[in-house]
Amino acid sequence: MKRYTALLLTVLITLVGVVAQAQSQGEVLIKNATVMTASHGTIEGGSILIRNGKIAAVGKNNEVQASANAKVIDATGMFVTPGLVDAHSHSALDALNEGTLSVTAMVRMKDVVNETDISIYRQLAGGTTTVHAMHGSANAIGGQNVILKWKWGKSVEEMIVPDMPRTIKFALGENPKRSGNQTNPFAGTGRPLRFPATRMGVEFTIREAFQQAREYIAKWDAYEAAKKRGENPLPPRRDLKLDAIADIIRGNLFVHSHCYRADEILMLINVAQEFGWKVLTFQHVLEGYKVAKEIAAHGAGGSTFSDWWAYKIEAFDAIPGNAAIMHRHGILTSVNSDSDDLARRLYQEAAKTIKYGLLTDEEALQFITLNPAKQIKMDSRIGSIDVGKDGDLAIFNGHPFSIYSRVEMTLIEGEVYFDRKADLARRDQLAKEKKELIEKERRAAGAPDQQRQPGPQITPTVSGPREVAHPHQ
Amino acid sequence: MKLRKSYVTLVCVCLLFATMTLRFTPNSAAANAADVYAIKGATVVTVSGATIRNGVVIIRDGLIEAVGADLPIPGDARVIDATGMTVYPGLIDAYTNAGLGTAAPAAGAGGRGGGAPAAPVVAIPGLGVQAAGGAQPAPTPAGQSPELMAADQLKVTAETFDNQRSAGITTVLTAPREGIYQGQSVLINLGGEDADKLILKNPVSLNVSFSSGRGFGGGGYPGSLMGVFAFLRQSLLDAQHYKLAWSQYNQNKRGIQRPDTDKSLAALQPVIDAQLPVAFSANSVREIKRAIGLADEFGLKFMIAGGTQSYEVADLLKQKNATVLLSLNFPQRPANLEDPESESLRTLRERADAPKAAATLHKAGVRFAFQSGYAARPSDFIANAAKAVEAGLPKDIALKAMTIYPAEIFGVSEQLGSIEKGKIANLVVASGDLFDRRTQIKYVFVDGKSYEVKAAAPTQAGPGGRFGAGGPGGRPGGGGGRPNADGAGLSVAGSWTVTSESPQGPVQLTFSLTQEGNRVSGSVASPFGTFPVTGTVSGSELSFAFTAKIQDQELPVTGKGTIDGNAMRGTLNAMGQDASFSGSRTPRQ
Repeated sequence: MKRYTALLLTVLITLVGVVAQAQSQGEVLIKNATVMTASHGTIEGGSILIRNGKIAAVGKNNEVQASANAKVIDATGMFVTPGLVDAHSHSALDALNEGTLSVTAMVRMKDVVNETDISIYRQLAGGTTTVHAMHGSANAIGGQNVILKWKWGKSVEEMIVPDMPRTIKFALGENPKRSGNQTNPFAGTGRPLRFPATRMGVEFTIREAFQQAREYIAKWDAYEAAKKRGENPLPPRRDLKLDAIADIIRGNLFVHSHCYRADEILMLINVAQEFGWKVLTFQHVLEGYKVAKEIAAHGAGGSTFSDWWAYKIEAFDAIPGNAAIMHRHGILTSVNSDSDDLARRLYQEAAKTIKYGLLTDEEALQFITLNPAKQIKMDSRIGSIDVGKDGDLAIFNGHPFSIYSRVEMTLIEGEVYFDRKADLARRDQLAKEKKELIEKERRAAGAPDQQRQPGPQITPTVSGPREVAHPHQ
Repeated sequence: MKLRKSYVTLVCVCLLFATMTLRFTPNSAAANAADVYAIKGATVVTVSGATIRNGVVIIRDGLIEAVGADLPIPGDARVIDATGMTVYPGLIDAYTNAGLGTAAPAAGAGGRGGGAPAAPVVAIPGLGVQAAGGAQPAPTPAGQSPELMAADQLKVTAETFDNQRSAGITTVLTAPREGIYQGQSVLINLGGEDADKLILKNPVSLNVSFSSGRGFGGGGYPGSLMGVFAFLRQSLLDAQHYKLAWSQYNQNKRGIQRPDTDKSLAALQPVIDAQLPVAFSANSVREIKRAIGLADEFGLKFMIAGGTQSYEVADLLKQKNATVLLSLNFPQRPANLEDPESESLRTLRERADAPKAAATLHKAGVRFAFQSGYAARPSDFIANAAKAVEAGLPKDIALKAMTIYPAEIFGVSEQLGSIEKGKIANLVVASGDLFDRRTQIKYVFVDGKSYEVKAAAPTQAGPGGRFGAGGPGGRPGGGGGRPNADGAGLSVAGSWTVTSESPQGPVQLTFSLTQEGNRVSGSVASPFGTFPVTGTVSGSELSFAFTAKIQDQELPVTGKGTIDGNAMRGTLNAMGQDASFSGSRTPRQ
């Protein structure tokens, strides 16, 4: 009987696998929905057809034709938005800050992705499908970020967006200069523990790094030139840190800089201009409204909080109108989470910009879809419901900017990764399994050959502090 | 003058004689007679061939002279009547830090493990920027020296391996377990005192872990997991560059400036040439995949040490032709778990599935060997292997995973891993089936020498383990006794109040500690809050680490205390700075 059950289970699991495969390969039709495209308005009574993971058609119900064997999702009374995009995340990472040095451009967040972080699933339940998982803000030049799709249950390799655009974290202000942490309560001496200790020092640190990168590029250029002349020179030593900073100068790696105050924002614009590159996106940028013209002229985007302020000295001048003001000055603007928690309800963060900034629904929706997609150079693939883009969708049971609405289903590339009904149906069975496993352990603990020493920690213990990266301090 | 000369000669002769006498006095009391043994009447599990009922094993001069049924017993042999017993090849623990003495500091600025001289630093990017702040370039920290040879660090006394031998373990792969580049491992027989005589193969692997063991702020680069990967990648790139620089120079020395010599980069040459395998400590699926990714990127020969979740990626491991040194130290329910419901279903599943790993690897055809996984009690090696058998691994494969498989993996199957004529006489005589809980180890031979089995059978240790109870080897019982190699003899459990002297004034810390084997856990109360603390006991020393949270910033703190009864004094390290502390344990009520 037991063997039979096991066999049946195996067959079932195989079948489910086959079905899932067929689903992503085949067609999915979502019909009778209010489709908020984020790029070309809202379609009442609309349908979306996903074929092989990509959006194949979107329009009124009668304009979209699916083949007979398409999986059909009836979304009558529901709202469909693009999968939400979080331009500032620290979720699903085993570590956050390489805080030992002030320039750590050599470290890569893609080396430390944790595909088992339950936050992934929780964010799916809030319609979030793609995040920009960043290095923390402990140092002036931090690590290289990673762009992840929340394909819960899949491997790290499947979550990392293939050929993703490369971005790197910079940080200005209090965190990289380690305000309030210059003395060590356990063994402190009152001297700065890590250079720099001031905003001046942060600027110097960045300029010095770019100066070194220029020299590094020159070394490699000289080597290539010598090779062209037919010589057999020893190549320069590859330096992963300077490789990355050189890539910023070369335009292959894009800067997302944590910042608060207007003066430091202008400082980075000046340094970027000096070395011939552009800031892609200012993160947090709570005083962005003060220098919106300058940011717009530089061509940088701004990814900010909806209504967080006064949690630290450099956040005292923040205003909830920041996002709207930056947007109206022509800055590509998004609102982000910077938090496992807020990432579950980005749609409410966007809704606040309507309250504070009198924006339209579509503008607010773009703040959590198309605009962050652009800020991470992913807008050719995600961020709006347009033909040719990935079939990443969130299906709400009401208007996404109503606090009474919730997500019913979330799809990535046509595959359902969150389904509220399926989740509810599964809960009893999971609770039962958990109870049985606990019982089994309890029984085994009574056995005479019980193990006494704690076993190995599966999770690496070197993960960096989350709070340092998080600005709410 | 002549007289004087003769006198000198006489002294010399005497000295020589004395040396020779010393030299030929065996260390082991059991080996007073010639090292010839005949074990008769036993069931001989040869592993390589058929099991022999009522068989005889002849041991001479460290080797197996003969094995079979109805063999004539040599006249000079000491006869061991093992009727009703079972003879096995000595067990091999495929990944340990046995015999390396007190563990090197797990963290801290400066200082190298094992007292090796300061060597050139593996070029670490970013030091220049740090120096801009006026900081001194740090010496190579522990765990960043691939040139460290475990063979040079062996500290062996007659009793060092008592616990292993008494648990049937006669051979181990050993290396330090601190830092990233932990050192090059050595395969040793667990014999008597002369460390050099124990070495079977050196080096076997370069051991690498992804734990920097260092802090966030001042511990030095790298202090995070992604920093560890950047560090590894950079050092391997540097090793490639080093190779290129020297090969260019060696082709044409005239007109080219001589490249620098660098111990660390020189030590990495056999690694990047895929001659010396890297043994990556990796347990979770993602750790295993990260190891494979790095090995692929640099074309490294590699092994996975640990492999707790290897069952999830058995097919990938097979595809990569990987070797797993599978830990039998299965994850356990936390000792002080108040609410069992607080653990996730995933965690519970992982614990339930861990013993199935061996069976899964076997079915998938992945090469593997068992290791004890730094378990506090060597005696758990067999008991935990029995759990793998319960979880579906055929018993004969379980035995192979502790004998011939590791011998093959480490390239010593010519001379080790089975009971065959001409092989090294590492043997275990047990009262019955090795995997039966009631079985006791009766005799242990290493290199043909008999060693006393100093404790009860491996799985018969009662609650508290054999260390607490005091074994027949004459150890004092109870806590606070003479510390043994595992440090499990020292009890640090209880409440300790210590005061740390910082320039800002004294800081009082109260540790509430519980102890399991040599592992310590608990909490530390400070003026900044209460934080979980973990640690290990080694000798009379407690090493601990906790992460203080101060104004929402995390500050990792490590420390070391020397314990004398109820007094402790030592040093705390936070952000690269040391502060002394001292205090005492609150007497038990």
